[in-house]
Amino acid sequence: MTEVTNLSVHDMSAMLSRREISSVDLTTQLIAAVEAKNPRFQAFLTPTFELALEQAAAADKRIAAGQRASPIDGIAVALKDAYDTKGIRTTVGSGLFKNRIPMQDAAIWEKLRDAGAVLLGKLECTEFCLGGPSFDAAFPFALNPHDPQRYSGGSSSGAGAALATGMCPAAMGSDTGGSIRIPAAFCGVAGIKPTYGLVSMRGLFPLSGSLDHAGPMARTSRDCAMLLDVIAGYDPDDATSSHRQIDAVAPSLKEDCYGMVIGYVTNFATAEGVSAESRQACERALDVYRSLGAEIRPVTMPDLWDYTIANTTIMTAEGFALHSDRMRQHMSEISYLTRHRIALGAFISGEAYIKAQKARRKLTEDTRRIMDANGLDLLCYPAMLGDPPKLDDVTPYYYLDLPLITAPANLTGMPASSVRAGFSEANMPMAFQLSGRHFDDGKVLQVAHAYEIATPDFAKIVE
Amino acid sequence: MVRTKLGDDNWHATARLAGLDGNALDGEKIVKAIDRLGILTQRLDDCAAEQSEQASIFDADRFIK
Repeated sequence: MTEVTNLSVHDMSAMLSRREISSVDLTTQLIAAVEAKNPRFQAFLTPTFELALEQAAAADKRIAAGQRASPIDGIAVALKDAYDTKGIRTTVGSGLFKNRIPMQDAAIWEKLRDAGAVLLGKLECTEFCLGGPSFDAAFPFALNPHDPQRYSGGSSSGAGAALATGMCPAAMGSDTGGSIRIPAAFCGVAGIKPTYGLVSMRGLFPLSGSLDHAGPMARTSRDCAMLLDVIAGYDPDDATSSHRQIDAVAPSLKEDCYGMVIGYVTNFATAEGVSAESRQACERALDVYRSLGAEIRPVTMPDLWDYTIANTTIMTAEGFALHSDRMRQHMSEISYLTRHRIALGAFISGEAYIKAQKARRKLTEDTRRIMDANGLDLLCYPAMLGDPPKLDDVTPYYYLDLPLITAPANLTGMPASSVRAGFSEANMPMAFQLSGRHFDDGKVLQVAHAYEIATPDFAKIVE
Repeated sequence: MVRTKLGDDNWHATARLAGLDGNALDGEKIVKAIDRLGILTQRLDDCAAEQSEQASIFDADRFIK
């Protein structure tokens, strides 16, 4: 029998609605799971158990009174420690912020809290959302539950590890070059980087303002949809927030893909560094989609390196602009990998940055044009080059050696999800990406959900 | 070609210009990374060539239309 802590948000929500379990009982069991597993996996940085039990008790009162605030009322969530939480330490993974107590809540937590979510704690993230895995960081990094000698992916590493081990059913991550999708892929869970502007970033500690995205992670894409339905929405206090919004996703999810046309991005699947296993996992997923009624069309996009270098140039330049004063005054207190990655931005010229922004416009328009010309609803390509790297193999600038297969969606602002796709010969999770047009987040999650329903054996929680 | 700000052998001086303490950084790794970035950013020339000057202005509404 599945332990209640290992259930999906959807199933927990149904149990709460039917009064088969209380939010206090559920939260108590999750707290026990965190206490038992966190010393091994290091996913939670700052637990908030007392607050969680108070919020759970309040949720139970609402449920008993027939006044449930939302489908996630009474459900425990955990936040990447880059989201400000009023009165609760928020470190962004840095020793420089080890005593930082925000005065305001991040917009995402405001929305989750108002929807009745229970805050289980703050999750480890790599320093300033780009540093990991740093052995000299102020806080230990989350370990990959499937193999602690391999990277859990960054920067939402704690979220990936916590979800994969049943310590929490829902988490919030952020994604500038893949920081939701990479840990989701490496840890075998689900995550979506929403359309740029769909989810407010107010109160999310930035890395690169024009590339940062806030988004949900969970064990299923349906759960991501339930969370996205809560956190999406225009925010007048976030300059990047869009007035354009989307209909609720979760209520309309289906289990087939009839009418969908999916483009298999063959040049991404065969790009430098992509393993045969990763490519084959993606191709097997496309076979499943054919059986679910989708039409698959091979398609060629611009070179993956073009997206990668434009994304890296913008991120590195904007990251240095953000941290330049901190680097001048406290560089030796910043972990080795982080300070080297930030420092690179000091050597990027204004010319390079401007050209990267121009390239971004061209690549965005080209991506959209190719989707239009081929009549595509979605794009599909691997979420990872291969197995997660061994911890010792991650060097300060490893990301300059091979293209970044998650970069296109950051650069274009299009929604993209990571979907689990079985296990490699090394018994590590594999995953593919689905990406859609701007504000087609619902379509992305719909197709991801259909695949997960068709492949239940790929879901695995590490005990 | 898009150039980074740095030549191969003067990264310490350039780091100082940026206000950074070069002693806290591994110079060999930084120089290699800058060289690599310099090679990679050449690709931006082709991508950027067809774009107007206004295309470099980040505007979320236009970006996502």
